[in-house]
Amino acid sequence: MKIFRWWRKSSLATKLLLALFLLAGAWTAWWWADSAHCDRQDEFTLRGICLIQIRNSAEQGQVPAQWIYGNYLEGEDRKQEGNGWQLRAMHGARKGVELHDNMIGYCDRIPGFEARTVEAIVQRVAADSPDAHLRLLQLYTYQRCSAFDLDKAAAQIPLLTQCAHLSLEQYLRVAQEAGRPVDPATRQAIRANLALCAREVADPPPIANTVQEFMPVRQSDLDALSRQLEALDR
Amino acid sequence: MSLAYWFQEQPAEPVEEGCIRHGPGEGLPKLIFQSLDASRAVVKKIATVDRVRRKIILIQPSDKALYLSGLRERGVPGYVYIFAHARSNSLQGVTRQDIIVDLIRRSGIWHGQPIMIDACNAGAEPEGIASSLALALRTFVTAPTTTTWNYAMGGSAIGQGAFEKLPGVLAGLPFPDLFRPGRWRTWGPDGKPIASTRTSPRDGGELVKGPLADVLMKKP
Repeated sequence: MKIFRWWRKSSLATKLLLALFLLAGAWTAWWWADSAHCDRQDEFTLRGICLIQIRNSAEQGQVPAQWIYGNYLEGEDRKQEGNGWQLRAMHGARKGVELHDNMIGYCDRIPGFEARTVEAIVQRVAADSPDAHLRLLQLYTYQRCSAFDLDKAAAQIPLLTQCAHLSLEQYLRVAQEAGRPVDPATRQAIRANLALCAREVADPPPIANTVQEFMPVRQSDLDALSRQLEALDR
Repeated sequence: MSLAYWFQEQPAEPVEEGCIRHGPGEGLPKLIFQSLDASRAVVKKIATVDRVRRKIILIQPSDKALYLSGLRERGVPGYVYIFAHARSNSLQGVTRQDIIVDLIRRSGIWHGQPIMIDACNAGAEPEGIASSLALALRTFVTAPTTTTWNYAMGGSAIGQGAFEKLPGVLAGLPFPDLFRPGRWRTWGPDGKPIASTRTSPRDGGELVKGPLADVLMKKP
């Protein structure tokens, strides 16, 4: 075999160099194969094949992919380009789960995420996707955004379709800070939501393709909220 | 740390409240939170809480090298230490400071003390995520203005600090540009920046000596 004859004749340096190339090639092949596992990556660890897939999906108009790709670019010092993808995602949102947390966090701070625009989009989505009322509640209780409005926030509470323990706690906190009384109808709506939360504590639901709170509810959260409501009743 | 940790696939960490069941963080308390992963699905992730060293690690155990680096960090006396991925406007992908505040409160280790964020670029913008966190928690928050460098095997402070990435196409390499050190900026409880230093509170105030000191002390 020619290859064996070549191997015997070649110098040690050539052999070492070839071994090095083979190792580098094997590592690169492994890296590409491993990069196809999108379920092991997120916006901070995107690479290789998965990054290509996400970019393609974003270009095809898939809203979750646009959020991920936009956030990824933002972290790669391509902020303007990243914000462009985030804006496309926000305007393209059709379901509650497509209303990313960025929309509230960036409200009035990043061009394109002005309060009026964000509010109009969330309202449009909430008309067809009732789980999005949670995002409206979060928007109206976010003090860094000019959409902050406790009356509008209170109006969202009876419309909630999921346990909203964190957002309700936030509502009660900002209402107290603002010295605003919580009317009996709103307190009643909060109690109704706590009943929903109690069912979630007893029987934690599987992760759903709908808007959910950032962290799951615990019995201690419900106890704290109940105590806050009792204090308001006194 | 055994070689098996690096080469074997770890069992999936159960995503339920309680303690870490597998890997080097076994036994530490954890909190659950939701996030969007690259398969475009909402998934549950964990925050590891070290109550002794007062640390909250938002890096996931599957990110092996960084997770290990977060676990072996000594923490900063008097501070709550947060270890995460970040950008100037977000911490571990979260842009709303009220969510991070909830997470910090739930950890049970924060009692009004200052916060030290060890996460890339978290302090890059005067009104970014570190500023909003300081305002929301009404405490002092310190964060880096550049990328931070943390290695699983540790080493001297040189490898563990804030430095820019290498320039151009070299930026993808996992090495800091030692000639472009970052700074650690501190915000007051009113959300306004009050100080900017070469070293962070975790350096313990010890002076850096030798050739590195010359690099660090050079004016930008």
